[in-house]
Amino acid sequence: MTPSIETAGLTMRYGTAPALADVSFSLSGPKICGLLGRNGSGKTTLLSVLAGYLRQSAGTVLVDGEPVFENATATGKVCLVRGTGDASSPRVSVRDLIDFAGRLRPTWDAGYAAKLLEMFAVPLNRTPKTLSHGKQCALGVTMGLASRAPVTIFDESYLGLDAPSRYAFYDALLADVLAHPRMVIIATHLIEEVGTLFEDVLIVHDGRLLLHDDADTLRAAGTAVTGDATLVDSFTLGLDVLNEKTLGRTKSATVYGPLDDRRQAQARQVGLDLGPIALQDLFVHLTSGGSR
Amino acid sequence: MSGRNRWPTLGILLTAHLTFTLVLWLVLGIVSAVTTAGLWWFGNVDESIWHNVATQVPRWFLMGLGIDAISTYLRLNVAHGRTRGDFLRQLWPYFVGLAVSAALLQTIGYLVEGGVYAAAGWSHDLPSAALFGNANDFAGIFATYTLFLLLWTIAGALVSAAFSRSVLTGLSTIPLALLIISPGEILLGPTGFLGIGNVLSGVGGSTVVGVGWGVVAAVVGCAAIWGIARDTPLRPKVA
Repeated sequence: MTPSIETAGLTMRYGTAPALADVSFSLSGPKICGLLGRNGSGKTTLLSVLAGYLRQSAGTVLVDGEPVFENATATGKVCLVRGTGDASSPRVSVRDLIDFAGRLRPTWDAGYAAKLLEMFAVPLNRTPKTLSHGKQCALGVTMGLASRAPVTIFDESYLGLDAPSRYAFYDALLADVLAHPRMVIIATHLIEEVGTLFEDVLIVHDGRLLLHDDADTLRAAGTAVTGDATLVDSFTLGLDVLNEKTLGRTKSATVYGPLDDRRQAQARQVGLDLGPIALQDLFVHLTSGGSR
Repeated sequence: MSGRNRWPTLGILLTAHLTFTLVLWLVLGIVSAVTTAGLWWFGNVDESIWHNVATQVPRWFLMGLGIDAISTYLRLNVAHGRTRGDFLRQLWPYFVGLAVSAALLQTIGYLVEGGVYAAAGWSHDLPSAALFGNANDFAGIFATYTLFLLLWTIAGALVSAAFSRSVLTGLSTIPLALLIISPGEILLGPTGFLGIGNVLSGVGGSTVVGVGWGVVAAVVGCAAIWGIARDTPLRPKVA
C-alpha cells in the first residue's frame, strides 16, 4: 500500500478571509508525518480539505491521484480525526458509534477497536456527552487507529489524553503502523513529545507552507551544544542561538545553521557535546516572526 | 455485496430511529387509552381520541428525526469517508421507510381503537374532517399519513441542512419548510397549525389537490436538501 497525497496551489478562503494560500506539497508512501503550525496557521483547514470535509477555493488536492472532494474513491482512503472526532455524536452510544464505523468503513477493524477501547477504559454503554474530555479523545483516536485507512490523520486529537494514555497511544500507533503500513499525519503542539515519531515534517504559517522536509534533515539544520556554561557561552558567541537551558554549571544551547568540521572539532576538543537540534526549537525559530 | 453493505446509511438511520418511533407510539397509545378511559368514566365517548393524538405529536416527532438525520448522521458518514451524495441518495428511501413505518403505526392505532369502540358499542367518528372519510377507512388512513408524515420529515431535514450551512440560510428556508408541510392541512383537515389550515380549507380539500400538492412539495423539499447539503462544509465541532 503506497498512499500518496499531492496538493498544488491549494487555496482556501472563508468568505473573503484567507485561510490557506497557494499550498503545494506531495507526500507518498507509508510514513508518519508531522504537521506543525501556530494557532490559526491553517493546519485544521488544510487537513479538512485533504479529507474532503471542506471544498477548496482554488487549486488541486489528490489522494492516490484522485481529486478528493465528493469522490468516494479518494475519501474512503482518508480518516481524519479532528479534536475528539467527527465520527462521534453526543447522544449516540459508544457501542452504536463503533457499530456504525464497521458498517460505513470497509477497512474497519472491529477487534482492534474493542482492544483499544478496553485499553483506554472507554465504556461501550455510555454516550460521548457523559464521558470526560479525555475519554472522548480516546474514542476519537480509537476511531482513527481502527479505521486502518491508508491515510490516517490526527488533528490534535489526543491532546485531551493524560500522559500515560498519550504514551499508550504513541505505542499503539507505532505498533500498528509497523504491522499495517500506512500514511499517518499528526498535527500537534506537543512537538517535543511526539517529534521523534516524525519522518517528514510540514510547517504551515499564516496559511502558507513554510517548510517541508524529512525530519532528519531538519534536525541537522542546527546543533545542540551542551557542556560547561562558560565554554558553551564562549563557543556560541556570534552564532544564531535559538534556545538556551541551564542546569547548575551545565548549559545547553541550540544553534541554528551548519557547523563546519573545524568548529565541530573545536567543540569536541574543549569537551562540549554536539547533538541534533530539537524540532520544537526550530519550529519556534521559524514561526516566531522575529519575536525571539 | 450484501444489502447491509450496499445501503449502510439507510440501515443505520432506520436502526437508530425506528426504535425511538416504536417507543413513542407505545407511549401515545397509552395516553390515548387513558384519555378514552377518563372520558368514559366522566362522560361519553363518541369520537376517535386516537385521531386527536395522531394528528398532533407524531408530525413533530418525525420532523425531529428529519433534523437528526442531517445534524447527526451526515457528519458521521463524511467522517467515515463517505460522500455527501452517497448519504443523500440513501436519505430518500429513509424518508419513505420512516414515513411508511410511522403511518403503519398510526393505522394500527385506528384499528385497535375501532375494535375497542365496537366492543364497547361507542361511535367511532372522526372529530374533524380529513381526506379519509371515516376512522375505519384504513387504506385511506395509511396513505394519507404516509404522505403527511413524509412531508414533515423532509421539512425537518431541510431546515437542519440549511442551518448546518449558516443561521442565515437556515432562517431563509423556514418559509419553504412551511410550504412543504402546508398540504398536511388539506390531507388531515385544519389541525390549528399556524392558522393556515382554515385558509387552505377554502382552497380545496379534494384528493387531487391535497395529494398533488403534497407530492410536489416532497419533490421540491428533496431537491432543496440536495442543493443545500451536496457540498456543505463540515466545520470543526465547537467544544
